[in-house]
Amino acid sequence: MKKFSVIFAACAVVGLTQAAIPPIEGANTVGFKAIAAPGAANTIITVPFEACLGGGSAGMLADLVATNGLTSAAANPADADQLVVLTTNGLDLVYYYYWYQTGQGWTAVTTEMLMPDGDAQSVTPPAATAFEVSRGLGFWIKRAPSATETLYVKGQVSAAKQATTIKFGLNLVGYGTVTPFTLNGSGIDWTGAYGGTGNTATSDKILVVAADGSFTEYFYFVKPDGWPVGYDALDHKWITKSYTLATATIPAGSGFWYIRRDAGSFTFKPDGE
Amino acid sequence: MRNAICMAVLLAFGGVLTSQAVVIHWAVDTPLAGTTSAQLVYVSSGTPAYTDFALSNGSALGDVVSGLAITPAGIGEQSTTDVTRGDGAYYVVLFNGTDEYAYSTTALLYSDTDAITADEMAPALGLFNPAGFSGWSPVPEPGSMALLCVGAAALALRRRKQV
Repeated sequence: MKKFSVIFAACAVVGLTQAAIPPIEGANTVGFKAIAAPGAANTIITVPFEACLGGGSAGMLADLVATNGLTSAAANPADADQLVVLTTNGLDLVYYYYWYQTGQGWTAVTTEMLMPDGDAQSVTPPAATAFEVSRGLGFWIKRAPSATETLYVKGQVSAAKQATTIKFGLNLVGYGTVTPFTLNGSGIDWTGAYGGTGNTATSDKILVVAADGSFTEYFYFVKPDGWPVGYDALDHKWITKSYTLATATIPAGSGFWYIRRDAGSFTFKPDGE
Repeated sequence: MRNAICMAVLLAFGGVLTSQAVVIHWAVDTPLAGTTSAQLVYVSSGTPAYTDFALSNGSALGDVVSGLAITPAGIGEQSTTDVTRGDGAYYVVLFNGTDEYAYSTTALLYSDTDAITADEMAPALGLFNPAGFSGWSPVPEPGSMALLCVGAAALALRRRKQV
């Protein structure tokens, strides 16, 4: 009888506790996306997801890059997969390094940045669990030589359209959705991209990096008045260095360099936000 | 076995070259009037020169730029791949379609980090854009060279038969 009472009491406590926890409701969809990133190579990736249950807020670096299949190391960062994020310390562009430490997850690496005056300035990144990565921001993954071909990013699928600010100089960006992205695809709003004087030496430039470290450049072209009709089809398009239309398709989850050559910024709206 | 070793050495050497590749960014705002094509040339010393129907001083790099890339506003930006150099400089060479060439009067130093990308994680933001060029100089046609060779070979064959 005493035993029955104890069991009954325990069940009652569990039942009351469960009743006190509100059920998770909503239309949240968790995404899990495979991205090609070969071993012994550097790849620009972009996370097409947001923080789970974050209501549209940016996820944290440590949460967005899944550790499935990654290469860890106990003590030597060079033997492990690394994440490299281009960001700003308020004055300069800096790279934050993280390595996948066995049993610890993404661990920040303190590096030294050589300043113009020759002095070395220490750069200590925030913890990966506290570093926000907005959808559409690109960053590098440096795969260890023994790494597998594929890595995964995860997070909450967002139906919201993407808007990424492109500033003067170097930008590491991507298309924050789970579909491939074509530079001259329909529905992409490039308003604000700079076409220079027609000579691509002055226009905005995109660099797509291949797995072997080589890259292909594309330039934004705006045809000046009076130019021959041969340039008509290229007007307000991304073109190659040979002045042909860019046909590159950037896989979902891949990022690229955007070199902004005009002063001021513009908003990259890959889905025509 | 020897072939396999040679192939392995070649592949290893090729891998080294690939890993040490650099990309030179260049363009020309004001090419000489009449320019129909252009190319980047590396020289270890001196300036680009053509003798005996070929580039006698320097190494031509990448493709010859022509067509729409020779725009009314100059030659659009080009990216040309090369191996890492320890000395020398790069010149832009222009051609005018009538067997004449001209080279830039300024050169890009091999170690210039503003216009040369050596690291995919640190792309160069600048480019080599020479303002001045030498005057047009004649460059012998490769076609003429081929004709001369064929003629010389025919003569040699004829003499040999006569002997």
